[in-house]
Amino acid sequence: MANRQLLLPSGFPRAPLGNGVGRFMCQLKRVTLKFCKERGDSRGMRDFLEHDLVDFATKHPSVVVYVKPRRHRSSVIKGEYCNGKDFWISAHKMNREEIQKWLHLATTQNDGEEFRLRKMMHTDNPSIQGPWTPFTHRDPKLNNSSFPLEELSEPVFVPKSATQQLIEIFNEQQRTARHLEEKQGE
Amino acid sequence: MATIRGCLAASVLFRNSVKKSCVKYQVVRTVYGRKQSDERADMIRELFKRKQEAGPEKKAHRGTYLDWNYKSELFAFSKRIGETFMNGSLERAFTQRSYVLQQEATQKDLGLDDPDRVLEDNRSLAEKGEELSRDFVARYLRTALPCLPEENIQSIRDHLLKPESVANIISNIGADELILTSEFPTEIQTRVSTFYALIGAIEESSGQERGALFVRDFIIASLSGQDINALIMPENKFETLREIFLREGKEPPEPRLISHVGINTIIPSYRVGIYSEKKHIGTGDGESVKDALDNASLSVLWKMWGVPDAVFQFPYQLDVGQVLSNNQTNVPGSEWTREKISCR
Repeated sequence: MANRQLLLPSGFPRAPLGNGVGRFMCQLKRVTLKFCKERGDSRGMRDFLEHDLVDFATKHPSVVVYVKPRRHRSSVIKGEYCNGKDFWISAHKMNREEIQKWLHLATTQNDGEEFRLRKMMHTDNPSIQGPWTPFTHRDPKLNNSSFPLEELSEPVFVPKSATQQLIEIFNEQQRTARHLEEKQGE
Repeated sequence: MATIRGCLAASVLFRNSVKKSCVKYQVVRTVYGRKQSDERADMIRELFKRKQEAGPEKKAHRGTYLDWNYKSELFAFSKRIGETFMNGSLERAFTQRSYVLQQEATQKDLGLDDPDRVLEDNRSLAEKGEELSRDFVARYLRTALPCLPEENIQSIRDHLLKPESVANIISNIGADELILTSEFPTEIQTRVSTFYALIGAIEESSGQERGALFVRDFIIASLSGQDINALIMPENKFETLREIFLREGKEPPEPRLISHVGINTIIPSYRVGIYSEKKHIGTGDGESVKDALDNASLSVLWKMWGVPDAVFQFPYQLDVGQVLSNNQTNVPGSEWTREKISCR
């Protein structure tokens, strides 16, 4: 995580007013396309207005589209969202396809806020079993035992000594030898 | 030949003009450049100072901006919420009484006292919508949670229809700027009455079922992500449980300490079980015996009342027709027994 992201507001994936629990509502309420009629850096925006604007408005009837010519200023896309937040992006020297992509983003996101996701999921019920307690995975054997218990005072893991390991290897060899003899006898 | 000569003359003229403009530019930069930049810096400094003194800029209503078309906004709004409105009922739903009075006063000042031009406000629609939403929310909660005592249904409903929650809904569907009112920023009560008027307008245009569907999708859906348990928490948990058992004619529930650990530490843990007629009915943990007892009582109560948990999710998509035809009220807390629930 970069340092810049530490100062971003953070949280979990969320939907305003439980959007989609009832009915889906496109969160973008209006978009203003600002451009210049003369300058070359607004060329893409002018192309977009000429060829795609009507399609865009027909596809998104819930978004009010305003077109605002401004002499000798670079082009800008400004969106306003249902929760009152704004989304602003400079469309300076962007071509028609780039503008289409940015508008697609604007219509599909919650709001234009920069937001760091702490996790990619969210649940109202983090645990099905309930919160952990010291008794959650307790051995039922302990219910009938009396304390202090010798067994619980022993170390959990004792490494095997070299003698012990040798004895085990010897026993294993004996067992295999006996097994082979039995097979030959048959 | 004449054209070529003409072109040459034009190019010379153009070159001269370019040269002249360059020279002029240089002169300005060299002679006055330093002084000009000082003055400019002083001006910016002064403007900044005055801006600081004047304080933050006053917020203006979105309707005062250049790019604003109220008719388009209304059209987009109706598409956004997916409803159709008959003959101007949407505009009427957004018209507050204060706006009507203001308009009448302006017209009188201008000498336009036309009795035919009367603006209708949203009071009648708001009354209608409020009645529908209060009634429908209660019916919905009773259908979704049939075992919950009636008092708790009422408390969830009161929480959902709190002025703050309803006002929050209207600001979050982008309707705040569309309200025609004399005040800015809009007050909570204004937003609440507009929301109810909106429901009234939907009911008037598309029928009761459609209005109820709007209530389900916006008011009931706002319950998602909220803690229902906190809204229906009884004051004395164990006492409530005991009363239910006594009313049913059974042995009163008996709490027993099952186990405890770390009593002399800062994080002790107790586990209490509740038994009735020698049967284990619930367990709870806590940092003190009282907490553990409360949690154990709650675990039994939630199970009996059918409160949503990790396994049973609250249903948000119940059929509106089925909800509207449900006329039964839940059993009140003072009479609540399990027999009364199972016979329904």
